[in-house]
Amino acid sequence: MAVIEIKDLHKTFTLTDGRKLHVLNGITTEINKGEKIAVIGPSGSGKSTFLRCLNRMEEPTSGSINFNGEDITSNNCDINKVRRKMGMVFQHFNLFPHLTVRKNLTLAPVDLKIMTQEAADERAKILLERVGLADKIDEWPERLSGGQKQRVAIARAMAMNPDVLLFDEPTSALDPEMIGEVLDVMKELADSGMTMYLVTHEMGFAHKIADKILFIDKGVISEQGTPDEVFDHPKQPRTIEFLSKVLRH
Amino acid sequence: MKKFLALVLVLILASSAFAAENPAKLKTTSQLKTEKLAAQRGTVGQYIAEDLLGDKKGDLLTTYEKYVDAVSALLQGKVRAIIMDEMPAKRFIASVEGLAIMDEALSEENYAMGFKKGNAELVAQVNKALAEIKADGTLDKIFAKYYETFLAGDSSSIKPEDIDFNKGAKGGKLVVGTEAGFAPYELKVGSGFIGIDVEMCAAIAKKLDKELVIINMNFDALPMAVSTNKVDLICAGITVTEERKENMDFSDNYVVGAKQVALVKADDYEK
Amino acid sequence: MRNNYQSRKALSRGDLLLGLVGIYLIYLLYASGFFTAEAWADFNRRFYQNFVKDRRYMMLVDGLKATIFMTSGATLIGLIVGLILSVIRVAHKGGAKIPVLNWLAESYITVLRGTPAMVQLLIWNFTIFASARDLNTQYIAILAFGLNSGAYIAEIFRGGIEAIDPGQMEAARSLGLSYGTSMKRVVLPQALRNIIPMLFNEFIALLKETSVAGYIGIDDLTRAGQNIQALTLEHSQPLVMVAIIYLVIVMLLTKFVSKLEQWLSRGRRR
Repeated sequence: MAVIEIKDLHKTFTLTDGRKLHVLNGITTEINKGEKIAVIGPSGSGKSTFLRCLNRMEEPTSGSINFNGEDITSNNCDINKVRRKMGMVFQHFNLFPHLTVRKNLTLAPVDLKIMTQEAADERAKILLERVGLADKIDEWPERLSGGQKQRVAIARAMAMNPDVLLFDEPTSALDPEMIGEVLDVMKELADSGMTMYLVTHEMGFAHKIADKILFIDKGVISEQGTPDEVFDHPKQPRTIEFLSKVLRH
Repeated sequence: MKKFLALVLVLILASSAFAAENPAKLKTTSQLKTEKLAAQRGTVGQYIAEDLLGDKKGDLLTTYEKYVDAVSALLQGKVRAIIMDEMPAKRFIASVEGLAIMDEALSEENYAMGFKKGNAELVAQVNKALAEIKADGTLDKIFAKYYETFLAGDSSSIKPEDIDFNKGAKGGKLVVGTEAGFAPYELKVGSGFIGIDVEMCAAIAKKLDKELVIINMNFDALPMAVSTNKVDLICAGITVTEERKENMDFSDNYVVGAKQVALVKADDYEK
Repeated sequence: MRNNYQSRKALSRGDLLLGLVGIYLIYLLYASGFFTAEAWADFNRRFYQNFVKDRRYMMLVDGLKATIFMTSGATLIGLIVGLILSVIRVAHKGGAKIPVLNWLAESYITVLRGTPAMVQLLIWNFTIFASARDLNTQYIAILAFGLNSGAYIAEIFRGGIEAIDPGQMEAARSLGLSYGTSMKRVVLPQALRNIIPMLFNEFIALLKETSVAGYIGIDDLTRAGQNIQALTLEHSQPLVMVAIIYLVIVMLLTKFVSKLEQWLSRGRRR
């Protein structure tokens, strides 16, 4: 069953000088429960914008997004309710620096009256245990390394017990030696059956965990398939060119 | 370090260079036509100085908010004379050393209270009260009291709390605007006011069965205050002029023949 | 720790210049014969006349009270107005559809920041509240200065909020928090660290700005000095005393603000 169904998604930015920038030019795809989809493509291809449209961090210009059967682009949709079920992990972590790790994890569930502070604390402990940072529960974000911050951010995205997790280039801002610890956590999540959308430059990791690869170029999905199909037997010239550039390094 | 020392040296030299010698001493008021003059902003002293200087008023006339500032400028040699009312000038003579009043008066003026144009009812009431306190000697007593104390250089014997403001009167309030830096007519002492104008207004308020309220503002803000009804009347040693009559109504005069004089430095004046 | 090291550094160029100016002023006093016994006695006599006799210092105390009352009241109004204006402007930028409100807020800020506070004070007193006779003039001044300061405080708030990484708002929204809650729980607490010291600076600016209130008949600190001048016919001492009082208050507040800034930035690294 499809968790998210995307139909003919368009996104146009209006620049300050009035010119229009067409970033997404009609994307149709879907993700099923427990599926992991990796989105790859050259920079500026629209892959991050695509991800950010899924929970309406960016407002789509046209097209529809169905989440658990509800059209979330319609005016009647309470987007705040939808977002509780779609966790998001950002490139720059975006932890709340004025709150401890515990409060970072419990702010939303407690403020939205989904859990009591005690219940949220319990859940925070379990989640931090899962990302291997149980001892940092009362630490301030600034005292953590980049990798630790991103693991906390993942735990925070899990705090609302979401149906799907969106990862927006989660390792791009990390020092190389910290990428591994974050990917390990994501691997563990993937293995536990989490539904995941992942925008990434980590081709090896995408190959290892993804069920499906979307190659986005110039705002459209120019090629898609299993990792074996896309990475090992790409058909489109643009995909071949992109992969040869990325994999050579 | 050397640069700083040089800077200090330059500053010292420059400051001594400013103390230039004065030219020939003043003898008659006609000499004032080409001299730097001062007056309080908005007063008749300013108008007289403007008439004296003619076209040169832009260069030679400096107006000050406060008389004290003008006197300070005079003593520092920034201006050569201040055009002002004789009574306050005499008070300066009594209290500040090194000042003199030129014998020749520049003009003679009458003082009256100012009202919003067309406020005939209040003007009539105040005129009636003024006539009464003139007739029963109250006004003369007030003048005598201030002449004795102020012109002797002693103001502390008059206490604001001794003046009866007719608090809680049934007829409402009489709000009077003034500029309390014009002794002996009005002066702020502690948190209260004293002066000829203040005591006269208190006597008038009593006649009208009203409580006196004094509002102390800048002299040049007074016409604005009375024309916008901020105050009922203004009383601040205001000279009656034809120009002012166009913009406000006046009571009967309570001072007749007050002289406008030139206040100068004593060592700059040769009788 | 770092600050201790800094204060032990050799004297800066500014300190040196200040010292030399001080030496020069002392030289001027010396050259004018200030340090002779007669001059000292004269200074004392005038000091007695200006401040001690008939408890004239109370005029300054009352003036100071009026100045602080006006400044505090105006800051309070400024905070409320500034908060409302900045909420409108930030919400507009955040996507709320309120073009008319935003236009009004922008115009308010432009007009009130683009005209002198003194002129605004006169307009409030002599035009808008011309017939409000029983209203204490101090309240008119508080209103005038408060509305004026509101325009500046609005920009302080807005600047403080816009200085926060937009990723903070995104992260809060991505958790399902509403715009208002995200603002209240995530953005504002961080923005306040920058805003609070700037608010105190606005208070300091306002404290000095209220010195024109004498024009509409309020005996504030500056006016109190002028009243003493008129009483004693002495020019320098009352004004210098007034200047010293302003300076001491401003220096104490400035010291407090820098301590506050240190304390706020330490909280972040706790």
